[in-house]
Parts: sequence; structure tokens; C-alpha cells
Amino acid sequence: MATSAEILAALADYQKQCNENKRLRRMQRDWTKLLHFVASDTRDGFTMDVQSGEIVSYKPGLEGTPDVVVTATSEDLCDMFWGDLNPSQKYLKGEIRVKASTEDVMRLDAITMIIWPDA
Amino acid sequence: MVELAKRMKLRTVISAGAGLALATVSYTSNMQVALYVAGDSGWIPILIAGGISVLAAFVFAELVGMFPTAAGIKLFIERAFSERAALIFASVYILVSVGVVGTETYILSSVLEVAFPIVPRLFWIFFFLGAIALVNIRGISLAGLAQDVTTYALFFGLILLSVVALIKNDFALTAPLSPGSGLGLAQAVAIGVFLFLGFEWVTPLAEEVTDFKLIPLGMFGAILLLGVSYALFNVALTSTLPKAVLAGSPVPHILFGQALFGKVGVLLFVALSILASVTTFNAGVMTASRFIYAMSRDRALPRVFSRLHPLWATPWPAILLLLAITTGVSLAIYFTGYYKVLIFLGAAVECMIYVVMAASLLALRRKNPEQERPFRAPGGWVVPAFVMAVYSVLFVLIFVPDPAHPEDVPAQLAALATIAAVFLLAIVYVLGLMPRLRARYAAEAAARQRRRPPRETRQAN
Repeated sequence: MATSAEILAALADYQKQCNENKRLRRMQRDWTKLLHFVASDTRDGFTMDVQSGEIVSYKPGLEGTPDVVVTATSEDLCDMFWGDLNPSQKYLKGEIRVKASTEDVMRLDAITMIIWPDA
Repeated sequence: MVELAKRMKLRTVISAGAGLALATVSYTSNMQVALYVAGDSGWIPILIAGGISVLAAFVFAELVGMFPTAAGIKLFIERAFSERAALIFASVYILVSVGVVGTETYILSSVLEVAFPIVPRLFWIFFFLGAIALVNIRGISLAGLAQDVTTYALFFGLILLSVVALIKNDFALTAPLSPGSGLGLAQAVAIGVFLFLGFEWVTPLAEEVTDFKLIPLGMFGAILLLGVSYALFNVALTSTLPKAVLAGSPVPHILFGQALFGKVGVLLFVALSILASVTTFNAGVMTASRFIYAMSRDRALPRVFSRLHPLWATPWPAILLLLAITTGVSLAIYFTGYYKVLIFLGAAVECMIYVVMAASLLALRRKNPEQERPFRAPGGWVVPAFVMAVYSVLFVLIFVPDPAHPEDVPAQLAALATIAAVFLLAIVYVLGLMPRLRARYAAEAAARQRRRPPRETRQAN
């Protein structure tokens, strides 16, 4: 079970990787969304604000009305943000659940796809 | 209940399912249903097919409630049986659905050739397939209000024209309550299943709705809308034109439009065809390309299919693969004239998937009786068992030669051969090639260093 602090550390790295990747920023240039991440085992929640493809902030707690809600175990969330987990595989097995439009699910997976294509 | 910034309404869920099911090829299938029954009784098999589709919708609703994900059909079968079985059935289902898009292109091209004889059919085939690929790679899709307006305009137009035709004919119907032989009626119901192909494609929307009840309600609404529209159109069609005239044409609705209002009628049905194809292409190609992308990300297909367009984030190699398949199907029909093959094939695969879904539901009830179910199909095991039995019989009936329709035997045989070939291909790939591909990717992943710091280090820090 990953702690809230561990997930926040993973999110910090995720933000850096995303924002520094020029290819990803170009692809996601028109993607502005509020995302909620919920750890199903610890009940910790996190809010991420993406503006024009840039992760402008992330914080503990669930704030605002989201466009995307991702629910997974704390370990899976942590591994996903570190790029050690292929979210598509977990998603197809029903272990990561997403509430969003098909387009947003695709965009979310595209982030991992672009930053860590071998994950 | 999770609240999302963008709420999907019931009318959009209905339009998504009904819009995908109502395609230009539906008019051709409608005529095919009429040919298997006597007089103007084509509405009877259509409503029976719609009625049993409601039972299939019960099965889907329970499964989607348990696993509200766009991974849908693959996940249901995987949880009930095995991943391999899931990949085989899902691949066959998606491949045949893509084949239906190829048939749709051929039929739409035939419609436009009738309307604009100066432009050859082959041009329209390449024009539409190229346009579908471009629109999908560009990431343009009909959504929300645009999809609703298109779909409801289409249904309103179809119902209105059918009623006008019936009024013009003074409701003079021939044997509307006497469908004729039992075999003919049963086969008409089996072909009628194809008319509803697509209502279940609302299940991936489970991720977009905030209130789960919208999914079963959306499926029931789509089936009702389709059933009423098709039944009216079928009776209007056969009461306006003799079946001998309709039988040889892939575009019976154009003949119907011409008989009704001359050139204006033709143009009206050309417009309805284009609208119908747009809604089908929109959902069909987009969903299938996302399926191929997801399979590639799951390492079940080569990695090349998970490449995304650098500007529009669309899976362009997957879309090009679909373009190749649909072009192959369209050209095969163009050169052979066997447009009915995909109607039989589509109906058979739809029956097959309903049987597999019902079997999955029964298996999951046994395996996971405690799992939360926001919706439960009524009557215990009766509904899924009935769905399995009825659709198994209909599946067989699709391939049984009817002495009254010897002209359809080659298409039935071709459909049977195609379904066997597609299954064989899927089995060889999933059991033979895919494990090697996965082993290679797993070795690469194992060689990759984990980025997440080890827990001891983090604790020491």
C-alpha cells in the first residue's frame, strides 16, 4: 500500500516528465481537464489540473467537478506515475477504472505511451 | 455517484446505439427480411427480432453494471472464461463489424451512383474510405448534440416517409398478418437480428454516464426506435413496390423513393443514406481503431498499432489497418456482387456474441455471486438461458438453405466459409503468434530498470 506522500512524490516526477516532453506538449496542446485520482484501498484522493497539455498543479484531496476520474489501488497509482506500469493493461483487466469520455481515456493513456513507450 | 463536468443525457445514449445500428445497409437488410415472409408481413420478424434484442439488452445491462468499462465485451468474457477466449471472440466480432463498414461503403456508393450516374461507383468507394480515414486520423467525431440532431433527423425522416407512403397507398396491405412458412419466418427473424446490430455499442458509454440506469434505458430506447422505424419502413416498402423489383437491388430504398416522389424521393433517400452512413462510420471506425490500439497497448498486437499521431493523438496505424480491411471488403463486393454475404455474416456474429455474453453472465453469476450488480436481468437464469438458446438456433438458421430462396445459397455458404476462416485466423494468432509476441515484450520490460525508488531507500531518506 502506497502512502499519500509516496503518491505525491510520484506525481511530482510525473509532472516534470510530462511538462518537459515537447512531443507530448504539442500533442496535448488543446487538452484542458481537471482530473481526480482515487486510491481505492487507502481512500486518498488527488486533484490534477491540466491546462493546454501542461500539468499546472496537483494536490491531495478531491476538488472541483472533474472531467476525468481514475480509480486504482495506491500501488498502481504510484507505479503508473513513475512509469513502471502499463495503465492500458490494468485498464483492460478492469483493475484501473476510469470515468471519462473515450477521447479523454485515450488522451490519458497517450501520456504514458509517449513518455514511457516501453512500459 | 461520481459527478463529471460533462453529463451525458439519455437522448445521447439512445442516439449512439440507434445511430450505429441504422446504416444504409439496413435498408438492404430490411428488404432481405421482407423477401423471407409472405405479403406485407415483414414487420412481424422485425418486431420479434427487436423483442429478443430486449432480452439480450438485459444481459448486457447486468454485465456492464458489474464492469462499467469501455473494455466491455473482452473483459466480460475474460472474467467469465479466459483471456484467450476473450481475445478470439472479441477479434472475430470486431473484424466482422469492420467488414460491415466495408459493405456499408459499397451500398452507399451504389446509392450515389444511382443518384449521380456520371460518377462511377468505384470512385465513391475510394472517396468515402479515404474520407473516413482522414476524418478519423484528424480525430473529428460526431458527439453530443451534433450526433443527436443527425440521428433523430434520420429517424424522423424515415418514419415520416414511411407514413406518407402508407397514406399514398391508402393502407392497402397484402396479408400483413400472414408471414407464411415457419422456416421463412424464423430465417427472417435471424436476418432481422442484423438490423439491430450496434444497439449494444452503448456499453462503452458506461464510463461517460454518471447514472448507470441510462445504459439499460438507452439500449431499450434504441431498440424501440429501431423496431418502430424498421417495421414501418418495411411495410411501406413492400406495399409500394413488388418484391420481384426489390429483390435484385442493393438499394431498395432508392427505388422506393423514386416510386414515391420521383427524383425528389431519390434525393431524399440519398440524404438519409448519407446521414445513416455518417453515424455508422463515426462510431464503427472510431471504436474499432481504439480496440486495435488497446490490444496493442496490452501487447496482444505489435507495438506499431499503438503509435499516435503527433498532433491529434489518434491511433493512425490502427486506422490505416482498418482502411485496408474495409477497402478489401468493398472491392471484393464490387467485383463479386455478393453484398448479402456480410448481412448473413453480421447477423451470425451478432447471434454468436449474444450467446457468448449470456454464457458469460451465467458463468459470472456462479463464479462471483456476491459481486455488486446495479442491474440484474429479471427471472434468474431464465433470461440468459433463453438468450443462449434462441440466438444459437438463429445462428444455425442463418446458414440453412431455404428451398424458396436458392439465390441466397452462395451468399450463405460464403458467409459460413468467412466466419470459419476468421475464427481460424483468430485462433492461430491468439494461441500461436500472440504468446511469442508477449514473451518478447515481457523480456524487454523485464530488462527495463524500474524508475520508482525502492521503498528502503525512500524510508532511509
